[in-house]
Amino acid sequence: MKIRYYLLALLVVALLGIGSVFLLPAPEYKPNLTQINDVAALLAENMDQIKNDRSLLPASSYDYAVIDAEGNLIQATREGLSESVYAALKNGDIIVDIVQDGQLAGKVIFAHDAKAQWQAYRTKLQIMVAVILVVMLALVLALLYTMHAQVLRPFRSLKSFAGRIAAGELDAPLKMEKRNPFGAFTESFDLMRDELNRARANEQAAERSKRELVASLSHDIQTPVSSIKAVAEVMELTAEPGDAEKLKTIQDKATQINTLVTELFHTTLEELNSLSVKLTGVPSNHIAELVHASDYLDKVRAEAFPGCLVQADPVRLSQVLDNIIMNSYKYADTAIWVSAELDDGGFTLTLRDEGPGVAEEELPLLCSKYFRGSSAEAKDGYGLGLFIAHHLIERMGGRLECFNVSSGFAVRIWLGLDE
Amino acid sequence: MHAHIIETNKLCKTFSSGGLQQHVLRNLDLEIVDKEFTVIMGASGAGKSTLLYALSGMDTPTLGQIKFNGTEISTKSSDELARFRRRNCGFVFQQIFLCDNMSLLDNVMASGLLISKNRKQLAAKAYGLFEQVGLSNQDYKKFPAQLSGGEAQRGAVVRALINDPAILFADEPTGSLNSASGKMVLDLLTEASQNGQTIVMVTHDITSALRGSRVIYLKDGVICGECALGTYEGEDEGRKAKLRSFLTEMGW
Repeated sequence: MKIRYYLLALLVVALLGIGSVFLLPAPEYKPNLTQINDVAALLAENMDQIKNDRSLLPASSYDYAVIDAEGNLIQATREGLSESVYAALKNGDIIVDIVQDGQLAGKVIFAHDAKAQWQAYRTKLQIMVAVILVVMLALVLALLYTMHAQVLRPFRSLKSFAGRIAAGELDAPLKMEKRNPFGAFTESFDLMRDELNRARANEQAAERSKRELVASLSHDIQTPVSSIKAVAEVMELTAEPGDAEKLKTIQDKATQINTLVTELFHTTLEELNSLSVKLTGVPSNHIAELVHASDYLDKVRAEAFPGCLVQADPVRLSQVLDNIIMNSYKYADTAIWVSAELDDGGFTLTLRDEGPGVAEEELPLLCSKYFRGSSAEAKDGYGLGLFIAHHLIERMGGRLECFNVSSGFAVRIWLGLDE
Repeated sequence: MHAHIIETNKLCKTFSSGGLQQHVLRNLDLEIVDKEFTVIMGASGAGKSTLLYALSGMDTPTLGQIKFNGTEISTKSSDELARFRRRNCGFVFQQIFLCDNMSLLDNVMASGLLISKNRKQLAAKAYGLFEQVGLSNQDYKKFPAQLSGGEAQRGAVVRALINDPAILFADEPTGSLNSASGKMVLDLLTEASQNGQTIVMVTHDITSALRGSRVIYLKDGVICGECALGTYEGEDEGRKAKLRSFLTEMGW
């Protein structure tokens, strides 16, 4: 029920209560004067006999006592009535004189039950007030419960939601209760979460591209700095002693810059491990498609692949193929022969070019970070392609090997079958 | 005659829908030995029926090879496959698939006439087979709707055997039958197997599986294990216990 209905009900009950307390009739005292006068007249007639004959007492709806002029009790309709004028006054009874022949013969005291009447009145009032209070109490409790359910509880869940947001958990949406008066309010909170989530993703993407930029810039810086260093070394040989010292400083500073840049480069690469690799069953014909997708210069000559399901991450695998094919373009620029075969529970993919290959002593280093072979001197690059490829293939549970063949350079990738 | 009537090499079957790929069979290497009663078991969705359909040339694999008596069948066209099935394969399914508007005999003859033109010889062979499966000449003149499930399934076995197939494929043959009829059909298959018929049966019923001489357990499209039971020679507690413990080990 809505809160305003409770408030309305509370108001109605309060008004009813106040009204009925005021309207409750107070006990009234209206003596039946005719009857009283009749009784007094009859008593006056039989005053003398009454003392001895109780049956002569006139009938009346009142209880009464008769006393003589001296104040002694003569007769009474029942025991326990006021027996003297003083007692009668105290009790609020009606005292009427009995007059015989113009002479005061005695008094009749009509009992008045004011006490009982007031008692009854009080009880009635008590019950009424109690009922009103109980109803109001019930309404107030119901109101409080409703307020708790509709206002406090959502606020509490909002509080824990805010806590989760603060802790960076932006993926769990806020559960919104139907019929909640704060529905729109909580919805805007959830929208806020969505926005934060998006902002964070953007921020991460920006951060990533920044790191990539730093990585490529730091590499670009190293090359000219190396030239500066080399030139300074040459100049030092022919320089005057004073200048030689300055040239030495130039060399030292260039070395320092190179070290700093290398460090910068290293820290941005630390994140390589956090690249996600999701293994799924990749059909071998899909791998063939990936090879062709990486081959934008159309140099690949591929044999038909044996049909099977290979355990790999297609996204990362295409990154690996990109790197290998790019290397071949850069260092060999010949046709690339691609073949695949099945062996000891695995799938082997071999990419072979007809280029000059790599010096035999450099082969073991090809897959290490920043290694650039002697043939790479004139080409741009960071020495990272094969390192990343090797790393990713290992993360897929496979192996990557580089070797020279009679006609050129080859990379062999072994991947497990999906079983 | 090859010892292996069917050989698969890295058999894969992938169903794609809405960009989602479901690899139902994954790099499956399997040999079906000639004259053996091979049973394929596995939980629902493990790829049992898909495997049976691929082996029998009713469906083509996504990747990998299937060789039938040394001949590659995975690259055949659908017409070639139909001819291949007609000559080499007999089929018994859970649903009986008899033509409702032909008598049982005509159903069998229609199947036989696809291969042989000698009606007389064929009829004689059909009568022999009907007798063998316990269907009288009153029974095989009836239409499928007039037959009980068990009788119809026995009729279907006759139809499957009429062309002397090199291999008989059965997909849950007792699935829709009560236990008595089921037992009759199983007895028939067992007898055929004892007469040198190669059978591949998919089932998830242990009683049916007991009839096989070799039980293969599939799980997520991969052969999880296999159990050699030897030739069936009647009810045998030891055989049952062996199969049970194998299935328990496989996570049945």
